[in-house]
Amino acid sequence: MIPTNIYIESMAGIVSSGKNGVLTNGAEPDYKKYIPDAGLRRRMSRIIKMGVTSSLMAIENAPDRSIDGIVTGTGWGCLADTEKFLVSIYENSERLLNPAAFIQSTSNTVGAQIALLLADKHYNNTFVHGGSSFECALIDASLLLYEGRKRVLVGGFDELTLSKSHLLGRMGLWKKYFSGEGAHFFIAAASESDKTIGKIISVEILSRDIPDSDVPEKCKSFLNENSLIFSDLEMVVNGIGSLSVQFEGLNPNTLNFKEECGEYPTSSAYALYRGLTLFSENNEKSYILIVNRYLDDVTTMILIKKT
Amino acid sequence: MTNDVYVGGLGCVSALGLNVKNQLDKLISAQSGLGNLSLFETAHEVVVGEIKHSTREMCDMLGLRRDKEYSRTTVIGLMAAKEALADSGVNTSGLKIGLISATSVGGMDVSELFYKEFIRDKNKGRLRQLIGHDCGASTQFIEKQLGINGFTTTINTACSSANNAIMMGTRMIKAGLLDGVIAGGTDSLCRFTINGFSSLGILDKEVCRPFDASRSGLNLGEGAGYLFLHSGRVKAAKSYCSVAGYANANDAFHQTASSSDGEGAYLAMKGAIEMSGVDKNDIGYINVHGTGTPNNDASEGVAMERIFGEDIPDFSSTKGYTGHTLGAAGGIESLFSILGLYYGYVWPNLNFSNSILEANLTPLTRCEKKINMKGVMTNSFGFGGNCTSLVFKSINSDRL
Repeated sequence: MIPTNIYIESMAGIVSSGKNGVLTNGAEPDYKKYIPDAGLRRRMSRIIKMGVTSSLMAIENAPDRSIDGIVTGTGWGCLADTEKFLVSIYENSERLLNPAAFIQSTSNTVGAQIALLLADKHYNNTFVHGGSSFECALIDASLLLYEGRKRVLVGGFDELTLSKSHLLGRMGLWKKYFSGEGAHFFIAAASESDKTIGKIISVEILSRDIPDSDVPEKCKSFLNENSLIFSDLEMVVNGIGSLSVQFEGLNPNTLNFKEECGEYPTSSAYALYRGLTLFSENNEKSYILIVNRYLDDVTTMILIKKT
Repeated sequence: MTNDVYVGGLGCVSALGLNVKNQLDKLISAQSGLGNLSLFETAHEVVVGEIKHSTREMCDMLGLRRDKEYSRTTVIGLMAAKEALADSGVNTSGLKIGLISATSVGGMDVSELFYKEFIRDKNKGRLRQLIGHDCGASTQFIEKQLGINGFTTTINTACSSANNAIMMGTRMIKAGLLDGVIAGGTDSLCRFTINGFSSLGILDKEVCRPFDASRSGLNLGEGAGYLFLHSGRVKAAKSYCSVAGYANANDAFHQTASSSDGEGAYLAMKGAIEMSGVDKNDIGYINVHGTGTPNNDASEGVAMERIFGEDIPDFSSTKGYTGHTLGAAGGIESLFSILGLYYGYVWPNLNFSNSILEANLTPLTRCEKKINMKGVMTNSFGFGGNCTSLVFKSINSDRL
């Protein structure tokens, strides 16, 4: 367990989902509003537009727009540009290649473009660790706040490209998983204010080899380490399909968030966003547990508290 | 101080050889690892820093199964990370030991083979070749092979990645979240980066000449470099130095180009030195990013002058030895800086003749013995304006 003291002041996101690798639900914002430079917008791949815009939306909603760090997480990275450049290498026999896609293929492009647009010279980091990429970004943000920074922009994003969808389909995954993609950003502050939406109090990343049947027990231990039990939870926001019935047996309400956002490596960023929207004056209890696993990757947990 | 972070183990694979001793011997004798590309066919005329062993040979050395296809990035990463852990002599049982690895290309060397088939027919290509594509895949493989039980992650901020991995590992130990961590980076040569840097027009067809007036680009390299970092409560066989200062800043100027005033580099170096508690005049050596591109060296040189004025510390780029190893560069070059600090050497900047026009700087041109250095610094800068500098402090410096 990694204890965190993150007060979320603002959040925003873009999400799409659908069956069989085809994204039919969800809407993208008017990118023109956030990236007015038409040339820049045209050069940006879709994931860059999604990531940059959701971060700018989070800042737009923020009570205090000053930040002193940018941390991002992405499992798939900038796939479209990577593929575009790779294909051009073969199609053009390595000659006269356009560098634009290469330049934008590195996973830190979204964080870098945000820094460029905001002229932000502070700390900037990107985690690319599959299904815990967003959790790692949260841990880094938490450390930055612990070290004395005031407000860090933190986000997770992944785009389901046509090729990725086709390849995951060939692997047989759409028979089992609902497909999706998303980009969500948060303003993480070191202290509570009257604008705080909620607090992240703890993050846990478990090893890869934990069977589904052991996950509820691991959740219980995680709660115990935070001096909580299942009945203290308003909701379990659950991303492991096979577990919903087991959680219901443990008393808290369960929201299977992947029915909304689908399966992608940083779907826990959507889950955090969704979990925080559930806090209201009507809550009987103050805590929400987010449990997630991307495919057969690590199991992760995020514990949030109403403030 | 209880939360100081020490370097207790080193592991490195590069064009200079498969272990730390090879690196040290070649650094001292000023032998470059640059040469022709033999790993794969390419249309480009390139000089590279290639590891002189096939992936298969290195798999055999590591006892990896022959029936599986491993990314070269993963294999060299495992080799270096394993050496760093062994070098520390630390028995990890009962300790929280993490792994923070950096890579920019991940398993691209194998994904390329897949795509060659896939672009001809969307139903072709062996799906197994994609398992290692994600950057995190190499880290997860190393984690499993070394039996790491603590926090494990992967960082990709392009060419500054490994410095950020070392910085993140240090911060986690300081915060009490880990007792020890293997931190560094790994990247292998592939068509993707050769074509990428070629398309940008920044590959030199001859050996790279960092910080030289005639420089005209970089040579790509491959390798892996890891440090075993630990807290004071863990006892390691060796105590190379402490990680005293670090800073990550963004140039916020351009996606690939560096600003003419070197603002990101300036902020990173300044932040790392201030945090280290080492007086800037006591920085005995700087391993500069020094890729050999006109833009990087000019920008970095200006930033160095802004910080040090006329009194520029001894410095060199070791890219003339290894080539630019991208996501691994910070790991390998941190290790070179630490070897210099620990064994008392400063490394030459190979292929230098005349100073750059943008700044009044002359790098070291010969390997020199230099004992009793208090601290050394290393710079890594990447696409996206990511700039990270690290300062390593001699364990003995307090007593000098």
